[in-house]
Amino acid sequence: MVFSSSSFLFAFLPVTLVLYFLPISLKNKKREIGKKNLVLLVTSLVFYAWGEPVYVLLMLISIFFNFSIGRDIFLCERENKKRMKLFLFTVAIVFNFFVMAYFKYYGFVAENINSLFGTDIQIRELPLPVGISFYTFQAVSYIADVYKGKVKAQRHLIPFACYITMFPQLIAGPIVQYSDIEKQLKERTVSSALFYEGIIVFIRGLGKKVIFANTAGKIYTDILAEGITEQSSLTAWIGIVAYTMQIYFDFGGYSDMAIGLGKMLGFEFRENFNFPYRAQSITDFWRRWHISLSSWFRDYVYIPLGGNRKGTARTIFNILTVWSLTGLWHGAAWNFIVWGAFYGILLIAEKYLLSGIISRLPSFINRIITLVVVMVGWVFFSSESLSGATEYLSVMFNAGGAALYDSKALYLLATSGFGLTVMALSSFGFFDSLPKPKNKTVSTAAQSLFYIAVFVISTAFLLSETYNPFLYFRF
Amino acid sequence: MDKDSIKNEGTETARNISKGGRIIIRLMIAVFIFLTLGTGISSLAVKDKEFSERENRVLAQFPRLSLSSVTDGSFMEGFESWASDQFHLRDFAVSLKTVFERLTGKREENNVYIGENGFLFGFTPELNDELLAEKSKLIKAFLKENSGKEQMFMLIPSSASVYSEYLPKNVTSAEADAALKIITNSVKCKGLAIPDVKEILLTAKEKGNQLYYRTDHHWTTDGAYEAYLYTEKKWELNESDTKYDFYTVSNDFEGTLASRSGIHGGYDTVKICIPEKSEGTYVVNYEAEQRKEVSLFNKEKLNQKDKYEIFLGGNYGKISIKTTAANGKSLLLVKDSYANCLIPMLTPHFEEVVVVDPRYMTEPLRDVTSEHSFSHILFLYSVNTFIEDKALCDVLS
Repeated sequence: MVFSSSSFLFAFLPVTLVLYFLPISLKNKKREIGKKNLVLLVTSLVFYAWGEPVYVLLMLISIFFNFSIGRDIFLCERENKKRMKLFLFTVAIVFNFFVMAYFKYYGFVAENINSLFGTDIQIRELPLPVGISFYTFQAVSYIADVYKGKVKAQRHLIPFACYITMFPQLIAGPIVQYSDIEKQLKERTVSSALFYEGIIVFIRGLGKKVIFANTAGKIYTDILAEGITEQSSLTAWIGIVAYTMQIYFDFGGYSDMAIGLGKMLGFEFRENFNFPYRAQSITDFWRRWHISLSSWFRDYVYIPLGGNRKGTARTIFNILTVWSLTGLWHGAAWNFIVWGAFYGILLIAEKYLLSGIISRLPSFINRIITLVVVMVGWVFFSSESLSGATEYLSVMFNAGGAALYDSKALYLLATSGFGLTVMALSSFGFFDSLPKPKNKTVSTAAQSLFYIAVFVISTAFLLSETYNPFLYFRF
Repeated sequence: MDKDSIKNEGTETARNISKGGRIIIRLMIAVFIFLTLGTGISSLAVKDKEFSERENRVLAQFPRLSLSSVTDGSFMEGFESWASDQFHLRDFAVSLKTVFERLTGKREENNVYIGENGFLFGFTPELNDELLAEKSKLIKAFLKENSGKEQMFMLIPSSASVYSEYLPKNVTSAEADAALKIITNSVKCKGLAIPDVKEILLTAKEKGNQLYYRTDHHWTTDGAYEAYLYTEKKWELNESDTKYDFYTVSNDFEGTLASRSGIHGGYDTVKICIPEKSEGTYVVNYEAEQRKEVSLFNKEKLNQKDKYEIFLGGNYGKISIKTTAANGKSLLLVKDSYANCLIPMLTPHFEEVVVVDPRYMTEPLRDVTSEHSFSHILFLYSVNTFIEDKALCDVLS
């Protein structure tokens, strides 16, 4: 199930909230939270099974496995069985990554081995279990934190299962680290103020996804559908601007919805995006973009590899490793690896060569440069192949003799320019920086009305997606 | 964890709030619950609609719940479709979206351009060179076998070519015009008259009649009449000097382009054109259906959404029309739906007219020509159908 569907908004969500807040025992706080966790677990499993009726079993296996092995690692720690502890830890990590890799990278690996060695390994197209990249990372963060002694192992199955399955972040993140949420699983307070905040953040995310991202996405796919080599440079730029907006609002929108839903249920997740297109350098960009993923890679790959403490050569190697993996995490294809390595190289360059220049340039120049580099990165990210990406870039930078602009570009500018400008301003945080009414009550009222309107329009947009006139379209 | 350290992008923190603020917060929560839960409950409570007039399709019904439908996911899929199809105010939601998008400057919906003056324009499909070459080859071969007969190929431009001034800014009719030219050049052959219908219509436009529907992809009866006048002159058909009367039969026609784009509120007028003294002199034989009528119009179709079907009742594979003309002339008309409103004008000049729509006919065209001896052959297609249609190849090969 996705958040931006009428079955979620008008069936799953209200039913879940009613069950969640149905009081059974107001006096006994512990029992109350136990019941809330149980409701959350059951509804999350329904949420997952909705789209993946079979793979829910896979997730249950992962939960039981990680829960018990986490307990065992914790017990080894207490009984000081260091080798056993390391052994269990290795088993857990290998198991988690093996399951993910099996579903996600099997076809990719087989394909590459086939083309490298001329072998003929059969490629089975397994449908990817939704959210496996996210819940695997969460499970690994738990195992690693227990191993390092950063947290105690969870003693109860239900709160642990809640952590893995929690529907707000189950299918598209943010990747919640166990240490962030450990206490909240045991006690959390829900207040009307927090619930209200949750509604606002959720609706904002919904609007970002349904109104902004989907509109921008349509502009981009329409341009691509006509064949990029037929287009003018201006059209290619409009296309990549649209894609840049789409990917931010799509992902950012999902994160907002997750964070908002979390708040409604009494959870506080860390922010996942912090106006990334306002970044002043690539390093800065990755501190603002998909923060939970970058911090995961920092905490569980970069630092364990030695980070920057083992000399320049090792640091460079570590950065490249982390970023190739980051690329690969986004999808099993070479263009994602190139995209990741592209960032790895840029980050190394910024760290060792460019930091002096960046600090001397005015910030708005840095912002523009960063944004253009990020957009070039999105060309690699969005293209289905490397050749597609280079084709797109050559039209963008007018290398292949494409027209600078044509009537199609002007039409796009006239019909989508306003929308894209609003999106861009919003992604820069322009609307958040506008002065707000001094009176708190007035500003809360205005905010509420605005978001009710956003909710209504979002609903209209997502219903229109299924508007599907059957036309007796026989001329 | 320190709660205050977590603040999301641009969120106004709603803690430390005034009394008034607290009331508003409660209200907002109530509104949100009402919008989500209330909508859900009322969708369940209200009886499901079976058919959407606007979308012209059967709507999804509540799916059957069973173990197998849950494990294979069909229940969930069914539920998703039900939840969006049976949403109240669904039509309103679609309109709200199109209005919102138009306010932001958008000028197309679902492959339909939203033009000026209420005009909607369908996109021109992409030409397939191979298909076109194949089709032209077959047409030319067929015409060669039937040489000695009067032959005409009439390609009707799309409304974008004739009313290009109403296209959205920076959209040109170049694509539609180019398609016209390429097709015309590719079917050119000896003895085949190919009128420049675009030019005919552009000239006629000056007279002020509306030649295409605003909300539908077809030309109007007035547009077809211009093409008829050309044909009548070219083939010297109107020996008896027949007069034509025009009647308006509907003022609230909302065509396919309106449905597809979701842009409603514009209505077209449907006229019919009746030759004088023609009533009751025809026998219209729908061959596959084994049904005979005495009129070229099916007035019942005015009660439905697609009022263009008043002409011949829609599209049928093969219709033969016998008249009392007794002049020895007979016409083979190979066509798409654009011909339907033109047929009543041509009919009085022939003893027999055989109307063939290859998309609904399996019989080879050669069987039709060997059964009858036609004096005239007319191919009449709109440019968009001609680009996409493959059935013409099937009946010609």
